[in-house]
Amino acid sequence: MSATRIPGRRTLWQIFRWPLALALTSAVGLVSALVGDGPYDALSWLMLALPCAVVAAALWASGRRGRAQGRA
Amino acid sequence: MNFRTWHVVHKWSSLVATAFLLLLCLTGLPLIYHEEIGHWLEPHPELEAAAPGAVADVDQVVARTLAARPGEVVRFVTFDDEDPIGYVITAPTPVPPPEDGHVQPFDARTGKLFDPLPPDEGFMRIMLELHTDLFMGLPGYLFLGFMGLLLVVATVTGVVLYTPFMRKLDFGAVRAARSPRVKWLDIHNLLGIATVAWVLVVGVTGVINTLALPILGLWQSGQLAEMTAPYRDLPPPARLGSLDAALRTARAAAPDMNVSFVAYPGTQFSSRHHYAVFMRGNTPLTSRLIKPALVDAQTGKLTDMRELPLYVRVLLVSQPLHFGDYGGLPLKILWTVLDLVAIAILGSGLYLWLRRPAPAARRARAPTDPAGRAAGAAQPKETWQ
Repeated sequence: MSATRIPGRRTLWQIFRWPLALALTSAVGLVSALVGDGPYDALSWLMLALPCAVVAAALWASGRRGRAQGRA
Repeated sequence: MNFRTWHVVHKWSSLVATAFLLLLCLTGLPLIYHEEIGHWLEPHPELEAAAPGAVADVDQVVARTLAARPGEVVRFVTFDDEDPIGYVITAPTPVPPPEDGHVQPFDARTGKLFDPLPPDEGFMRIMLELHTDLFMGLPGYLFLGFMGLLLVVATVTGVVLYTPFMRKLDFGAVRAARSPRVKWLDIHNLLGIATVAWVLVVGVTGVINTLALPILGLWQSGQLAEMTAPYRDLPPPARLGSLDAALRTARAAAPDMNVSFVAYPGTQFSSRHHYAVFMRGNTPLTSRLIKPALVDAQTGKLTDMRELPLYVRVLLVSQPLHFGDYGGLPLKILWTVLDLVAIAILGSGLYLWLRRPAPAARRARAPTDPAGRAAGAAQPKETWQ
């Protein structure tokens, strides 16, 4: 794989490591509130808030970059 | 399959289902809060102080309810899992139609009857019908289930398509300075990949929920028929025995569980000879995985108690995972946010399709590669953006 890699081209691992991490944390969040109450609920909220936070952060960062480029 | 094939499957599975998926996402929004909206529209009965450990005489509650509803029979007696409130549900017939019964709440400690609940209609009822069966019963359920399957197909193909688009981009990149179409493509990809686990779980559990009626039928003709086989050829009891005795029997048979609801003899969830007392556990999971204790409606003795079969348990676990009602208000708020993200994915997908490059322009820009090799990974930039 790495021998034929084109420079600047991302590998499958590079492309999917963050999505995979978000899928796993979401799965933990979906299950934990089913298993118990209290701390299990809190863990669930935290884990399911992650994808929402990541999306918000990425959109916010791109908006800021876009405005910076607009000014330049 | 090459990139082009995945793209065709993604495009058509989405396009066919988009209108219905948008309907499901929108009607699902208020349904997340059906409990809160219900309490707000119809405040909980005022509970008075009662002696500790007091238990209502449910036989009397049922008798008083029926006296006020001449010509009706009891279908179910249910018990709230938080407050000491029970409900007697009566109707002209033991099995639907009519679908809805009359609901008489009572204090499960003192036996006091509260005001009957108004019929379940209005805005939330319409949302529920649009979300589940489009007012069409079983065919509607199955149709929306098929739309849910298309959602699963569109999600999986979308994950596959994510690869070629991200070969030269970092995770989360949104090229806001490029054309609106490129920007919205990046947003579509970001929203989709970040929420894929939730969308798949809500999609698959939604499909399973559309199979509730066939699953109930399977259970009736399977486990329920088996458990009540010795009674099959007996005439139905002329008079029903004590429900309180049946409740005591069921509680003794499952001392660490609570009564969720009782299905009366002759209803869909019981035989003609039994009170089917469904017991629930104490965790969010075990409170859904109810366990039926079949109690002979004349003698009050336990006939059989079993775990529900796997296919029913899968349905029962699918319900909370679809509704998002198992982790308090914060989980419902997250369900709302994720639902809004799903609406944005559908909307941006539709936009990307409407703003697709004209076929002539696409042909002119696409590299001529009869073997189709390049279309696999490296070329989506020219072809699809």
